[in-house]
Amino acid sequence: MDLRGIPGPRVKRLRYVTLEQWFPEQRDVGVDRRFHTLLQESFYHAYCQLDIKISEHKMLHWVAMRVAVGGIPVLPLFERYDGLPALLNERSRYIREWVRVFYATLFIEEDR
Amino acid sequence: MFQERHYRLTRAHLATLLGVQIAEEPHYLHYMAYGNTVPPRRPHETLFPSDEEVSVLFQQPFLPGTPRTPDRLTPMAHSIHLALRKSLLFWIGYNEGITALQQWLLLYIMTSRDFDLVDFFICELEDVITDGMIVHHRHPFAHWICWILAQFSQNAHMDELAQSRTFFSFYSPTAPRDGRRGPRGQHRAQRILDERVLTEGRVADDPTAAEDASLAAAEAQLPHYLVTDSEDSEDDE
Repeated sequence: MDLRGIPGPRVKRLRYVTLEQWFPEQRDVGVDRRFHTLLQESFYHAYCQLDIKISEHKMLHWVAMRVAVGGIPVLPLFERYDGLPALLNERSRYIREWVRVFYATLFIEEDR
Repeated sequence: MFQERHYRLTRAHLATLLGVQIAEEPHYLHYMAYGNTVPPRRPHETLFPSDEEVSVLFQQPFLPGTPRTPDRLTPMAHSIHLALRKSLLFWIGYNEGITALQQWLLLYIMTSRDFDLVDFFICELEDVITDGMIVHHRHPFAHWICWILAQFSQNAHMDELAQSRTFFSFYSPTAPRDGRRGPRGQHRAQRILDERVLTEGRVADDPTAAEDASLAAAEAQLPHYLVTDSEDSEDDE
């Protein structure tokens, strides 16, 4: 199935389904091992063919931020949230293939 | 799915993998900005913080109905807003305004109020997977996603991630006195302040000299690619 260019409402119809529909008991025949259904594989191929970009997040450097705001420490604003400074300052690496498979197969339950 | 296996994560598990905590009485920023709108939320009507609430982010006087544009933010709020647009809430375009979600996020961070970071993350993912399959589609949070995945099966893939050659670089903010800094209002404000200092004859030996020296020292410690008045500042206004 070629999913390139399909609009949001159609994507939603395909993805806003039940867990049993998104991950049926039986894996689809002939599907790549990275996926459970041919639909998930189609999403992956659409991402690849459309060359969907990774959002270029930036890491925050607390000293640079402090200088930018004229000397006021910025880190305490973020330290308020446990773990957030590390996520914004240290976790910089990624693997594009992992991200594409993740988004192609991700299912989020409605009552999460 | 990851490495041919299914993984099912609860919010609590996700919080653990991200290394964050779920607050006891968390606030959901997407709910505050979009209500019960089903994803993708961004094209829909949005709910802004009240003038009274948001006033703390803006230069005074901030009267009801004052346009909430980036150039009216206080210098501190403006810098944090630009940094958030590049990091926690990656956003391209709409430089002339501040979306409802950006306002809520900025307000909560600037006023040190708890919000549910896990819910924030899930909502952003949800909006991506229900959005149209068009060229402008983007995959945000690649680094957080990979950090989570690498921890599966007792950190089985952490080495692979650590050796990955794809990574996000550091944000280079502009310094307050940088001539290329975007918001015209802030330029004007800074110029007025500078002129006032000059006219009041507080140029060389004023109390801020020590602070300036401290800042210069802090700046000198930065790696060369982070020096804030560099040509390649990423503030795109």
